[in-house]
Formats: sequence, C-alpha cells, structure tokens
Amino acid sequence: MLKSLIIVGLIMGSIYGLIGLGYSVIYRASGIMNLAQGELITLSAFLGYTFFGVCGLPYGVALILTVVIMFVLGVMIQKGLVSRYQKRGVTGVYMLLITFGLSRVINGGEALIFGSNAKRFPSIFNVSTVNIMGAHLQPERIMCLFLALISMLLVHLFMTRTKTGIGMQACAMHSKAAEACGIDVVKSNGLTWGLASVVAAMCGMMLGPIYGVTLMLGANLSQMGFASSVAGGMGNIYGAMVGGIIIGLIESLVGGYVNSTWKSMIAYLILFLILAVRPTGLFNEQAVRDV
Amino acid sequence: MALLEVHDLHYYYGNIHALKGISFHVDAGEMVTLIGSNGAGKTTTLQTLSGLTEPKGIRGEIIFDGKNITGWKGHKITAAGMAQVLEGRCIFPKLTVVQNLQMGAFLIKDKASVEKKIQDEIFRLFPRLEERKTSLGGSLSGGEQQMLAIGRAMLSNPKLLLLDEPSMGLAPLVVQEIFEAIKKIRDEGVTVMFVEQNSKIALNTADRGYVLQTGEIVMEDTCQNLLANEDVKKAYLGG
Repeated sequence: MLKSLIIVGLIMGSIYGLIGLGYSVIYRASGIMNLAQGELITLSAFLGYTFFGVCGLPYGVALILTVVIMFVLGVMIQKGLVSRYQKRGVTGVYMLLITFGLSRVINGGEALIFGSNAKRFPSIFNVSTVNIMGAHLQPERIMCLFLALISMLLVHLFMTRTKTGIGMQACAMHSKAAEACGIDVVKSNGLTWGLASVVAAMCGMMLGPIYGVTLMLGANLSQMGFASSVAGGMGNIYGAMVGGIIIGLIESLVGGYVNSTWKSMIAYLILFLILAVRPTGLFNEQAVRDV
Repeated sequence: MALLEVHDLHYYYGNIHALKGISFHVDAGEMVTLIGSNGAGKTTTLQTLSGLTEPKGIRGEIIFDGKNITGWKGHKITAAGMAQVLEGRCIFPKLTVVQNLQMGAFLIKDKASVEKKIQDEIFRLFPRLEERKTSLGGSLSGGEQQMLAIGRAMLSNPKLLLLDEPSMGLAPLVVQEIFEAIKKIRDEGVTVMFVEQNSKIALNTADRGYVLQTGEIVMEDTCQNLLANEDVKKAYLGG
C-alpha cells in the first residue's frame, strides 16, 4: 500500500511541479504572476483532444502541434497584451487583474468553440493498466511522470545554461541594463511567455488523457501547481519540482491513510508550516517584485 | 574625426523639457566628461545616446560612427559599438560575476573569444572580480559592483564607452581605483565619455569637458582650462 501511494504521489507531484514551473518561468523572467496559466493548460488539452481524438493524428504529432500553437499564442499574449500594458506602467496587482481577466476570456472562448460538455481523451496506449510494485497504474500516468521530469530538466537547462535563457532572467532583474548589454528585451520577454505556454501545453497533453477534457481542468489543478511553486520558492525551477513532489506525496498519503476529502486541507496546512519556517519558500527565493 | 556628434538634441519627458538643444562631439580616442549638478540632464543625455529613453521624446540628431542612430533601440546601439555603464551600476543581482560578464557579451557569437577577454582583459584590469567570479552580483560591495558593471560594458567590445556617475556612492580610495581603470581602458584605444557630479576628479581625469546646466551646455573647453575657470571653480569645485 505504502509503495503504491508513494508512486501515485510522485506522479501527481511531478504534474504539480510542471504546472508550477509554468508560473515560475514567467515570474522569474518578468516578475509577473500569470493567473492565466491554468487556462492555457485547459486550452492545450482541448487542442490535443482535437488533434488526437477528433482528427486522429498520432499522439506525438498532436503533442508537437499543440506545443507549437501554444508557443505562438504565448508570444502573442506577451506582445499584444502584456507588453502594451507594461508600456503604460501597469504593474503589480493591476497586471494580476489583466492575467486573471485573460484567463476568463480564454475560458469563454473555449466554451464557445468546444462547448461545455466534458470530452473523453482517447487512451494513448493499448493496455489499460500497468503493474508497478503493486500499484495498478494507467500507462498514461507513467508517461506523465517521465514527460514531466524531462520537461522540467530541459527548461532548467535552458534557463540556466544557455545564453538566451540567462538573458531572459537578466531582463527580469534589470530590463534597462539588459537592453544596454545588447539583449532585445521585447523579444526576450516574448520568448519567456512562449516558453511558459509550451510548459502549459505539455501539462494539458498529459492531464487530458488522465482527467478528461473539461472547462475546469486547468483551474482545478493549477491551484496545486501554484502552491507547489510558492512552497519551493517562486521563480526557483528546482523549487517548483520539489514543492510539487512534496504536495503530491502529502495528498496521496493523506488520501490513502486518512481521508481523501481532507487531502488538500492537510496539504495546505503543511504549506503554512513550510512558510512559517521558511518565509520565502524552501529554496529561499526572494520575491522579484510585489504581486 | 568625430566618433560621436550630437546636434541640437532635445529631450521631453511628456511636458518636461529636460534637454534644451545641446550639441557636442567626442573625437575617436578622446576622453570627454560632462559635468553638472543634480537634475542638470546628465543621465538623460547618456541614456538618450544609448537608446534607453523613449524615442518619442527625442528631437535632434545623434550621429555615431558615421550612422544616424537617433531613435534606435538600445540593443541595436550596443551592437553598433556604444556601451554604457548605467547610473547605480545595475548589475544583475542573481547572476554570478561570470554570468554578468557573459551577458555583456550577449551579441558576440564567438564563445572562446569572450572567455579569453574575461580572463586576459577584465580579470587583469580588476583582479578582485576574478577572486569573486562565482559570487552572485548582488553580494558584491559597491566598488566591486562598479568594476563588474564596467567589465560587463567592455565585453561588448565598444568603440565608445559611456559611464554614468562612476564615482557614485563609493569611498575615495575606490573612486581612485575605478578612475585608474577608466584611464587604462582609454589607453587601450577605447573612446570614453563620462558624466560626473564629482567635478574635481572628472576634470582631473578627462581631456575635454562640457558643463551642463538645467538642460543646456553652458561651457565647453579643455579640462585644464575649465579647472582654471573662476565660474567653474565657484560653482563646481567648491570655491
């Protein structure tokens, strides 16, 4: 029992971590808390469902198409919306409201295009369950674990080892100095939103097959992803990963041994404790700007 | 020949007329200073040269290295060979010393030449930076941050290096060290222009100077002559 709960916890945790990573990337590279992140996940799930379930394309092709579309959409959101308001001096809670409004607009658009009925994302694999150390798991969930870990590793390497990635961070720390270094700040910020949307696309493509595609998919799960990124230290890429796994494990263990209706509550109580001991998250990440 | 020529430059922050038609030039190989008190428009001048102010506030003409760069974006101007050490240093606090320097070389494709320049030029100019190369920028002292900011600007291989108040907030000994480094940079063939509130050190370091007063250039001469000028003495050198 314990082993299988731990495996389930790790899987959920890696998903929470990947969702949290989407928040962290934008926060680290532009100081903005993007409340539309969850809705970008929902939209990706709908797109994946359309390509895979409706058009019948192979899963890998559907994944690539979704990733490309979401990247372009992310860049467009930054260029067409966020940067325009930034230029007028909109920051902090005012920007928060814009991203929240954006999430409602995307949600309305989804309802308009795809309707409000839940869609069943067809199974990707032929087998219905796989047995790993006593845990019977959907193969889709195991794929999730691997895709989430690989995505996190790639994003981490990109942000910390490549010139473009470090440049994205530099833009958040001091945009004028970044421009003076020769970095095209406008382009770099666009890339940041593109990258966060790609992370959302990965999440949507993994969550759709597990939970089915509904208008509430991203909203429900993104809360836990947000909690993960905060627990780890907002903006810290390892932090989102570790925070997600801690929350996933707590939920799974509480759900298994105590009561599944209490699992979120207990996860949040432990989050309170973490913040009492480490006020800026596990990895002690100072807030970039006031949100 | 002039590397930089500025003709009748105005800058408006909305309704505020911050620069009221200034003209000046910097010849290749020269070290020029722009002195003036707080609010005279020194920072606005430098940031407008570097494309770091809003282009819509600019009137006039900036010719750099034969090109009219008026209204260009900042990163394009850096690519054209003009680098700036910003007021207050503005290093990237959560990047290491080496990463900060590498960001200065953002536009340079040849990685090996960047590493070589950091090792052979920047660390030789500022040995303190080598000792602290893995520290985060935000953990450095003010003097070290200024060295890092200068090193970072030098990594774009500029023809013209602009410095905004290099002495700001630093202890006198550190200020001397920074200005020694600026002289060395000039001796290696980089043209230098800096603005300073510390007029004494500015006029004792540079070749030529301009005096900026509420958005207008009121005087222009060699530093030797400016140092001897009674008005300059009274207004900027404490009698």
